[in-house]
Amino acid sequence: MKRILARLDTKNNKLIKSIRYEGLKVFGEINDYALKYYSQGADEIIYIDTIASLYERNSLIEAINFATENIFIPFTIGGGIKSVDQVRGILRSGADKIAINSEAIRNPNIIKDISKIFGSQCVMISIQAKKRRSGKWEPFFLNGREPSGLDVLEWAKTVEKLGAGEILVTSVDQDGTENGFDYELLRDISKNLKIPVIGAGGAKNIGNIVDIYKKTNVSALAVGSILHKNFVTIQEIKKEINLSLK
Amino acid sequence: MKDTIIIDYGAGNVKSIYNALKFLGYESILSNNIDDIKSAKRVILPGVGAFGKAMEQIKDLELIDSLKNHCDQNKPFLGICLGMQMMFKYSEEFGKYDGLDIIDGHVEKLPENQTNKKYYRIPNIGWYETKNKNDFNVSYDENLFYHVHSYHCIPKNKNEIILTTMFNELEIVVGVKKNKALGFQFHPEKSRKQGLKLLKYFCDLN
Repeated sequence: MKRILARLDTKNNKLIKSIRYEGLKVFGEINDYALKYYSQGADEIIYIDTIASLYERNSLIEAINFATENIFIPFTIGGGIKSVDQVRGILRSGADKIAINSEAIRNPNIIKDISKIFGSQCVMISIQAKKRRSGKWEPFFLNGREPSGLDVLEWAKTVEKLGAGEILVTSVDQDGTENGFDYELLRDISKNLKIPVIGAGGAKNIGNIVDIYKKTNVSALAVGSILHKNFVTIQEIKKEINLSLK
Repeated sequence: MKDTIIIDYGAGNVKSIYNALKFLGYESILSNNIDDIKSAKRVILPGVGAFGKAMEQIKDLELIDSLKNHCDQNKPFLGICLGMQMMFKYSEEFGKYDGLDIIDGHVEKLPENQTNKKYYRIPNIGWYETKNKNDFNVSYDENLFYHVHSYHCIPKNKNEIILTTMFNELEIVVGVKKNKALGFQFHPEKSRKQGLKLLKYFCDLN
């Protein structure tokens, strides 16, 4: 069954959403939204502290505490994670997975280190993909600011080899635009990997979500903006998935 | 008095299990102390990560005998995810490693079949429907549980199977029960109301 993940981008414990990783709109308290999406039937929740990489700390500990007491589905913590000790702390606090982007690009071996100790199942590698004139995609880091000089497909295969359990690929060009997922990006990545791929960035509506599931091999889609704005609920999305994909 | 102990050996999301029990109104403690295990009414063995490494940690803490004794006395025991796999005789994960041998059988990798050019994605992650076997009679409003695993258990004694699910075309065992020793491959503490119901079922075993 295809999964729907609620994605919560955060800043100082508020739910926020940027467009193409620029600017931001503040929605409210993270925990209120987490609880709401849990009640609506989200399969998982992803929390991304959007400024953690820049300020070198992850401030989601209160959100983790709230989630482990009230939300009985898996959740992932991302943003500014740089060490095995930090991962240990986050997992011990009750998170199921961690998501890493910037540090994986700077030091790919951290993927191996973490997956060896805690298992691949908890290692989600986040890729912020920006389309280049060549038609290829380049991974960006530091919250969509810095180009890595790598190629998204090659990078995804590398992290798979190093022990990633899942890949969260976000189209920087589509993120927050509500213009639709980057179909070609999700198609190419999910075709070339054996581990589960979670697509993100640009969810437009239920039709767009079902379409991506029909046309690509992604295992899950992460949705943010259109949920936060109440354009659609997770119940409605899942109902349509069940009808259209059986 | 704390009746239930959750074995805290450094692998596994102990906090989520602790909080799920608390949500249900059951107190528990996190411990890796032999005396705590000896006096406990119920033991929960969680676990994520690699089989060999986890067994090594259990061995280093000298917990193997006390866990086995607990089950021999027919006291309630619950293995979750890797914890269920560790209840078996051995696993083929990265070599061959001995398990606790509470349940006869072994653990092997999920098949990467490539029929119809479709490969099966591993780790197997997601919410899957289970089927009750051998008169296991807990029922749920919504019969979906959160799984995340690359290996699966193959019990020798088919009577000990209580839950199965489909991994593509293959029916795999995701729940076992031998006397009062239970194992779940999925995460009941992460599986909404239905998962909590299974934890309650376990906590009410006496």
